[in-house]
Amino acid sequence: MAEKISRRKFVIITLFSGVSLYVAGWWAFKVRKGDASDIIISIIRKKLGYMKIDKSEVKRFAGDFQKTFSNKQRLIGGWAGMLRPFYSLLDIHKITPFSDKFKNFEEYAVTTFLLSCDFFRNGADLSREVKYTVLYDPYEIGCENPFANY
Amino acid sequence: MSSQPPGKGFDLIVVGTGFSSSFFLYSYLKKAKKNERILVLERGKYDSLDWQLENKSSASLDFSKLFINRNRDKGWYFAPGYGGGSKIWWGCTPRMLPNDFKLKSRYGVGKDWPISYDDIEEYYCRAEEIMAVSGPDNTALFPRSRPYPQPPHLLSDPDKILQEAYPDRYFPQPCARAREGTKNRNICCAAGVCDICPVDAKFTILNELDYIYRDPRITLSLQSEVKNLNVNGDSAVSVEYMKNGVSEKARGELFILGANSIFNPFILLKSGLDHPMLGKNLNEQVSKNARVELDGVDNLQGSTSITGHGYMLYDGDHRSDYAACLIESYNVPHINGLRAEKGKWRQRMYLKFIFEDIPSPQNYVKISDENPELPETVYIDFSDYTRRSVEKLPERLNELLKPLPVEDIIISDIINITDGHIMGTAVMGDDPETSVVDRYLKHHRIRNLLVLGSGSYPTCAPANPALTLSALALWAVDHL
Repeated sequence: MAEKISRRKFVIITLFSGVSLYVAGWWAFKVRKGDASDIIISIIRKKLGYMKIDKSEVKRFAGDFQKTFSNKQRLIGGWAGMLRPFYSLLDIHKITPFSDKFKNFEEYAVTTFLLSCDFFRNGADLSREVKYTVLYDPYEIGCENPFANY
Repeated sequence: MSSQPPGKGFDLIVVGTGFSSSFFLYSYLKKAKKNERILVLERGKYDSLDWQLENKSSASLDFSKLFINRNRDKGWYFAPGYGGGSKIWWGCTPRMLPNDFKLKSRYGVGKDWPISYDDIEEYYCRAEEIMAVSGPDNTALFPRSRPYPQPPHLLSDPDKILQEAYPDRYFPQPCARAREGTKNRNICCAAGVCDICPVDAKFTILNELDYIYRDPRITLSLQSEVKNLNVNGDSAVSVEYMKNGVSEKARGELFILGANSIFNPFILLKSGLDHPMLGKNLNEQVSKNARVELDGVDNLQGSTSITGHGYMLYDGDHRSDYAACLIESYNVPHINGLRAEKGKWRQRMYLKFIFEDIPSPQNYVKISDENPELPETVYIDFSDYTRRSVEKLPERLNELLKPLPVEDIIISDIINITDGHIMGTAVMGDDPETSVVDRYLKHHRIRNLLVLGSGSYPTCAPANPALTLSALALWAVDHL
């Protein structure tokens, strides 16, 4: 006769299965495809939440931005996206083993977005709506540094 | 094997088309006879700036496949092909300081150079003229006999605060990123991707010295990989090289090795010109970066990618105990990084700290045992002298940056894997027992052979090596 499973064991197995399914699903649909757009959108909305930016602008930026990623960046972005449901509430990445790498990733996303939108060209005016213009690529457009005097 | 027909040898054979070969030829051609025959052998291709920008790569030949490096923590970076290192350098042209040439006699460490700052001051000036270097007026640290060819670049606001606090030790970086346009170059606009300048503002062999390779006396042979020199007694007589899969030989009267400090010793070793110091003392500077979060001072207003140059940790009695350090202040938004906090976007400095090292024979270039057709770099570590200076940086930096409104200083834990400078493997000196070449870069034994480049440096100052090695190439021509 089969042994009856305890309630505690059942909860653990269910939780473990759920998390495993979530991680496997995330890997299959996001990490494997190198899709980091979710976390890029979350980063911009969290870090630059004080700016007037339409979500569609951030989405367009995220789509273009992730196309430039190295494999390593795809991996960081892809896996970090898995924690996105909690990201907007707390700095959950601080307690993960890759916190430094993710902090750099955050800075890279914020810097690239700020240089890819019209915010500084419009005098850093927080009352104006911010538009994504074109992905910042100084190799492509030589004199795009918005701050330099020459 | 095909060879030059009898009687058709060359007066001069030059290996490489980077800084040292090109500066040598620039000066040599002015003195050469009208019917002189010069062969230049370049291993790589001509990769135009357009090609580099399109491919986001400085060379079509993959440098990492040209040598064996078993130390994953220590990289060596270079750009093979026409123009060599000038394609990837950032155009930083500090001179070495007078005391850099006499580290042993002044501070009791390392070695003295066989030449002094005064010996090559004139050649520094000439090299700066060729590169149209932009530089500051206050240069008491490195006395000049004439002003810089171009005015200094504009500093950023935090740079200006440091300049006010350290007027004789902090100033605009001397550089070959044009402040004023030249016939062949545009004005620098601080794009911050100087490895492949999108506006062609930095000096390269391709934009300013390309014309010398069209001189009718020169035969330029691209994709020609030099294998070895043939020596008869105390003279080099010919060079063997591979072109299009065919082994070629060319005879010559005078030979110039102007490959880099991995390949110059490799060619000499393959030529059987062993010497206890050949290939030894492989070194470069050690560097790390820091971010300085500022309170209320915006950055990034300067006119070029690296604006401030700080000598506050460079020369002084401390060099008896720990290494000199040169500071660079970056003016590039995508390198500095922008802050996310409201209103503080530009309130950050990004500083690079470049430490000298004391070369050690434990680091060297050899012929690979695994593949004798390739050089192999063996690098154990940098010196304790340098490590002490790196370790003192946090404490010294807190004091140094007091003139700035600092919120936080974040020094990277990481030592940069490379600065793209390769030095020390064919050292110069007056004693043939302890050096490979003499003060004029002539091989001690093979007197019709010169070994140019930063391989000749007895010590490694914090200053970037390109200007000094270019000046030394000009100096060598005057002492043939």
